Amino acid sequence: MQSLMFGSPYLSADNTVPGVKIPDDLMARIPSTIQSCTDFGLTFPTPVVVMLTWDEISEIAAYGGFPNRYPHWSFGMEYEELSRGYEFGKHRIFEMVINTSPLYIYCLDSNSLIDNVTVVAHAIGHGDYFHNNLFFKPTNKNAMNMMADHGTRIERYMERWGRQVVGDFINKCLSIDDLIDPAIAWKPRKHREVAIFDQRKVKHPSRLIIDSERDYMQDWVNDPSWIKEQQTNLTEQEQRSIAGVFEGKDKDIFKFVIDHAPLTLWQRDVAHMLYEESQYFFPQRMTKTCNEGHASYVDFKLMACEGLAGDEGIVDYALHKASVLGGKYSMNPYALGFKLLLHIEENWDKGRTVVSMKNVRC
Amino acid sequence: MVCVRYFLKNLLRCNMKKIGRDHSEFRNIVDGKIYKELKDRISNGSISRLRPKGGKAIVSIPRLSLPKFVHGRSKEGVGQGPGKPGDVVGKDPQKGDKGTGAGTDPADGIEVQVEMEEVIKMLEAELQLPRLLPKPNETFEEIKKRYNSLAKTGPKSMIHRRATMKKAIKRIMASGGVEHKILPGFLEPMPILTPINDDMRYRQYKEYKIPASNAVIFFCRDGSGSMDDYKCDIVSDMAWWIDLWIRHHYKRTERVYVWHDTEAREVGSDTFYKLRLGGGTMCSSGMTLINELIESRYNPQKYNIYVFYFGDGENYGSDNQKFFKTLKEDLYPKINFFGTTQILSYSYRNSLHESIVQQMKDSPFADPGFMRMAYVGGQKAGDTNTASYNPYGYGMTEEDRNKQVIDAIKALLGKESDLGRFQVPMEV
Repeated sequence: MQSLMFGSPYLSADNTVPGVKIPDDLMARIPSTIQSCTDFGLTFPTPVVVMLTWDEISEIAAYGGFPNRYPHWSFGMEYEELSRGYEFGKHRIFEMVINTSPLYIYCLDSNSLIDNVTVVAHAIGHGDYFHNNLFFKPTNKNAMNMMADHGTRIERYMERWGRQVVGDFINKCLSIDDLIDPAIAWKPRKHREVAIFDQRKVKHPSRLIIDSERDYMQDWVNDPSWIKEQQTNLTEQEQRSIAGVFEGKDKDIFKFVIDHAPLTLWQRDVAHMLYEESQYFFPQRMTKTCNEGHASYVDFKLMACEGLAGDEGIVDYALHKASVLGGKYSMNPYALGFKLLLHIEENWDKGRTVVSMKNVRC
Repeated sequence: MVCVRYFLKNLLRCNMKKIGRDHSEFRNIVDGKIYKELKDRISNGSISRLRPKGGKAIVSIPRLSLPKFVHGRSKEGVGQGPGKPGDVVGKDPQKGDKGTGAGTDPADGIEVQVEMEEVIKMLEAELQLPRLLPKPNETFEEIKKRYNSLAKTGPKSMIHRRATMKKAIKRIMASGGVEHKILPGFLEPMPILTPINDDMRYRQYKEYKIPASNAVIFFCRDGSGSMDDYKCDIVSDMAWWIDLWIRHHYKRTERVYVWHDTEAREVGSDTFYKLRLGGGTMCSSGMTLINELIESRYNPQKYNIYVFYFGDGENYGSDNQKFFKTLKEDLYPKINFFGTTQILSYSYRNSLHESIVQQMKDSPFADPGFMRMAYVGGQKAGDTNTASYNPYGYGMTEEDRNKQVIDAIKALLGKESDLGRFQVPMEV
């Protein structure tokens, strides 16, 4: 456990695994930071702190936080954007954390000491959110293995069926990968039943009963065209229930395509892997603002209010915070979530239990 | 054997980053798009307007992203009853049905910087260097040594390890398997490969002689009152690309700009493109000055000399004879190539080109590789009919102008097999 906490011994610096050695001054401050997080009341899985160079962190960020993913050019595009952005000084990735157990925290080696301590506190804020938020409950906490497994499987399909063929199919899947229903994660998985014996009951449209004496009223009371319409409706309904499609409204288009499109076995497998990954990433997109706000709030409370930054580091921390919460050209989820939480806290402390979100200044 | 293969595979993998393959795949996609964009630009002529600074051209390629479904703005839901194949599923009622107006959004594409070398490579398929003459007292600029071959003997420091190990593995496999030993630090027995003297391969150099090739390009232009800004613009576009193309082939290229009205003078490049004095025209004066310059400065024994003449075809009547005489008697023995371009001439009758063609008929002096003629300002791009010389060519569209400029460059420098497509036919 001790070795896990301070960067595992397997993550030493060589060419095969990412990571460099954590500097001693940061190493000394990690246990106290984690301890004060626990004292603050956060619950989170065991953290693993990994120190990376900018090149490695760009690579891992391009892969969405996982060192092993399936091969696809869009990751290369992401990498180009991130690494060029760092090279030209446009932006930098301070930290990265992924929703797994143990909680992997990636730090950048060119950050200053205070920045990295902030990063650890911030990332543990995320860890607390991942651990306790309802949306993250059904996600796979062993995602590192899941992603690596998917990568290997897709690579094998590429060896068997050709890189181009599988790549083209992945392109098609990725263009519909956000059309999924996150609520399906809470539903128990069920197997589709296949009726081997015909258990259908023959249904007939309802008719009004007429005395045999007044048989001539038959066509007038039970209009043949109406009866025919009812008959077709019933047939269609029956066919839908047999085929299992169009029974009602369905939000989950990707899943529907996987279930009903004429795919080969490998295509179905690849699509299902991408569906699982998409399901894994969906809650992060849904809760972006609240998640970042919570983490910013946690690192603010710990570093500034609890005094983790210390007297000498508080200015560095303030500068760091100003750069993270800044920006005026687009919506900044850090700033918005942070201000909303502060607003809630202020109102709560003043006894206004019904909080209005209307006049938040951001 | 399995063990060895596994070991080698791991050895090679060591330095490979995982993102490398995805990144290179992405770069390949981008390069393909750039190649296509450049190819389109060359074929539709818009490349003639591309005048990069600092050795890099900027082209824009379409944005790279996967298609995604996005939320529309329409408030009405779109319903569709049972249909048949080929039906159009509901349209967005807010947008107009007619697709008019080009996109003005700057985010439509990505601007990419391309090395000029790439552009030149694309041009290589279309153009050639005309009539390269052997220069008798050619000297070698330098002799380069490149270590790119292998030898069986050599100094110890020059051992080529990979080739040596390959030989050793081959020999050991052929002579019946690898010897395995337990080495310190390994649990399993490891294969031992020991190269013997016969396996040793050493790096060996080869000599490459680089000829000291020099070239000089003469750009000569008519500067009389009829050459206005529009024509000068075309001259500058053409001269820039011709210059780029010839410079690509020689290590040292000098450029001489000659400007003339009734008298010729040597000018700098800025003046060459801008200077305008309303005077008469004596084309032969330019040729005479070029001849003098060659005699005084550029020894034809050492230099490859290219002469390009730009004008609008108007000349003082009897001067046409003199022009041709200078070209035939003085310049022909000395220079590699003579290219002349007529830009927006008032008519083909009595123009410089007509007189050249007529006199060529009377006294053929040159092989077709020596002289080429081009015309900019036809009514349509690619129109080779001399009767369609359009005096009011100023009204032509931008695309037409660009296409004609590229066609003129191809007529001057194009490959001989393609010439018929671009060149003005030499008949009256």
